[in-house]
Amino acid sequence: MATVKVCNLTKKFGNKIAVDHLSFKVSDGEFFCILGPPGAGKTTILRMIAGLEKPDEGEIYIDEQLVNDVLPADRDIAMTFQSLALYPQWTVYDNIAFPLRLRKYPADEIDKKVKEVASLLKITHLLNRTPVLASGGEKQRIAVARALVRSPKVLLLDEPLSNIDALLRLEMRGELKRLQTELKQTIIYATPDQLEAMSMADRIAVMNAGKLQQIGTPDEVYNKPANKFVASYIGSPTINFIDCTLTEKNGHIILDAGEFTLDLTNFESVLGKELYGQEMLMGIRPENVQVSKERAKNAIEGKVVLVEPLGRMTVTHIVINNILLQAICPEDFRAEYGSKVWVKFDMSRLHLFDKNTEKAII
Amino acid sequence: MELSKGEKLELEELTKYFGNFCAVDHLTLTVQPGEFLCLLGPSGCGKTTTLNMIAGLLEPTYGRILIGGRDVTYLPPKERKVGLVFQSYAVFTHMTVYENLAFGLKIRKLTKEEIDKKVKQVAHILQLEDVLHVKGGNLNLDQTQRTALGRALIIEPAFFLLDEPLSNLDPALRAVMRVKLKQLQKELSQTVVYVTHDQLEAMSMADRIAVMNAGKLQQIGTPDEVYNKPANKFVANFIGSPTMNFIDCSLAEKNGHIILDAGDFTLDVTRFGEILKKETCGPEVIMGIRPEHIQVSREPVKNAIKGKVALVEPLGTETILTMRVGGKEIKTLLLGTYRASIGEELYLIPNMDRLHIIDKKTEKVVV
Repeated sequence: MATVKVCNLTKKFGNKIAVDHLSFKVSDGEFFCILGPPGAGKTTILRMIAGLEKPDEGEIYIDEQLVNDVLPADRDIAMTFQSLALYPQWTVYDNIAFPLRLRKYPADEIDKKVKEVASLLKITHLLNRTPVLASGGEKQRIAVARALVRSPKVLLLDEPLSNIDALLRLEMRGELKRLQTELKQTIIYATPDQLEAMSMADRIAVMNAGKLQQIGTPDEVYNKPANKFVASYIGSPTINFIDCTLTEKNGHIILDAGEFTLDLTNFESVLGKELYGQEMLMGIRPENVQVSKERAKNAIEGKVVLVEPLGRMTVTHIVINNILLQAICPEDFRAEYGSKVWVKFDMSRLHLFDKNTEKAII
Repeated sequence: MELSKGEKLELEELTKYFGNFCAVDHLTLTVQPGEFLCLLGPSGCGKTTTLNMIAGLLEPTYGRILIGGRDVTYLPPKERKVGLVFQSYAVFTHMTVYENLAFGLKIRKLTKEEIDKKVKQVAHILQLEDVLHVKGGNLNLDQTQRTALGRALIIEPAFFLLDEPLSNLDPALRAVMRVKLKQLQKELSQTVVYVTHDQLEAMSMADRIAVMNAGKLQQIGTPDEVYNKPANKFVANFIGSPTMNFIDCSLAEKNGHIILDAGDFTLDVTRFGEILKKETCGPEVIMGIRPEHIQVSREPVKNAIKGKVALVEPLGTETILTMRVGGKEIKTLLLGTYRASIGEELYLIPNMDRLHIIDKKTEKVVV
């Protein structure tokens, strides 16, 4: 068990900055996710923590001890790779035992540990076979078992679920989270899948193009995104963005989207006068858009362009002239293509971003 | 070119054997003109074999294929007028959009003037006029998809056959392309057969879904029907995410009540008595209930099932709770953010209107 701290961590490949002055601290026993699209720098961060890549700048601490110059083998870290890197010609047993044999553990201790971890991950029945015929999920478990077998201080997992099918991924997600809760193992988990990060992480670090965008609990990054990138990357169906201008009229603060206006006087405390006349981006999640087939006071008229009946909910796509909106409606909501509807926003869940800096204002 | 509307497609007892292996087993279905039908199933279910037979790339062992009422079972592919769009799009990257569109007409030996006229008409319909002289390799995904569709559209197909055309896209873009594809199909009134293994994609786009497994048609119905009234356990399990909870139970009569006994809890299902009697099902049954049809209470409620929180998965819009009830696990899906700690005791309230009872032997959904 251990804490991990990185300060100003920076890595360049030629002219490209892969990781740019990144700082964060992972607590003992925390499930910490690094989330971002390809090219965000996720794998590079893991490789630097593991010692497989040397940072150009910055420090890495494991349990408060500076490890920049410590060899990978001496950092007491285990890492699984996207490709899993199992030895196909060896039995599952030998695959799992490998890190212990490398460290010259006595045979009886190896046997005990391999069997323990295999039973924990429910792969005991596979021990005498080669991994070749194992299913995607089983291979995944074998790789995790090999990483866990010597109880490392920190476990680094690089997109471990990316190669398995959707149904199994859902199951493995739960299993991994449970395992971590049980073992209180410090895990740093890199993934491009926001649902994986949301469902498993204690905290999420959202990265884009080498830069940290926000660190927070799943709740925080979902409900209080720091900027447009985080708001758009997290949540499915994705958040709606609408171009707007902030103005003042008769003592009221008005958000003008062209096709409609909203009164934001309630947000007066955060909307300083210097923002009047500025271009803004309004953000509203599909579940905070209410759709009605009846005309209602203060509701905005729109036209239905697509109804997606997804079983437990209906995603309705609506156009308000040039604005396209997605709304989550009740499961039994149905509307004809082209029919008129009236839209209202849950103003308590409204987000407002500065159009230039893309930083959140509300 | 007056763009023709889509035609009807009928499959009659379509069957394909590879050696002793039956890939498609007496598949009968009709796709109505202008309909968007999804052929949905896991890999190996026979959907690609079916597609290949419809396109004429594979000869059926048995059965008939009719397009617009005409038997095409043994016609070569180019005489069937099927607009094929593959997973890979197969847009030639070294050719311009114009050349890509013209390709199908050139091999059909149309004159230069005819080709030019048609290419311009199709480009107009699909809003490709501005990129006609751009090479295929320099298009964005939306334009690539429209070019692929345009190539299929230009031969004036009787209907479109789409093979997982969105599977290579990232999730956000896939959602956008889904909307565009569906809009285009509606506006042009084309018949579409869309092959996919992604249940969400099928649910969101299809007028009707044909669910296949192991070469056999399991159910055909609207998204609502396959979701809310699945015909059997396979359909119930394949559609919906997180998947439906299945719990082994037995049915018993007690003091005039019909009791569904799961060992760790019981439910009174007297209300389904008549159906259960008529279908002569059980006593060994499987109870099926979708995670979103179970409510949760912190206070004890009559007829609620007591359980302990095993796992909390917050997803933003929703939260999945995995509950341990005796030796079983039951998933529930709650709207918004639900905070609960591992080991906490909660009460589960299943929505009895949405409960399914499945015959364990036949796996047929009885209720």
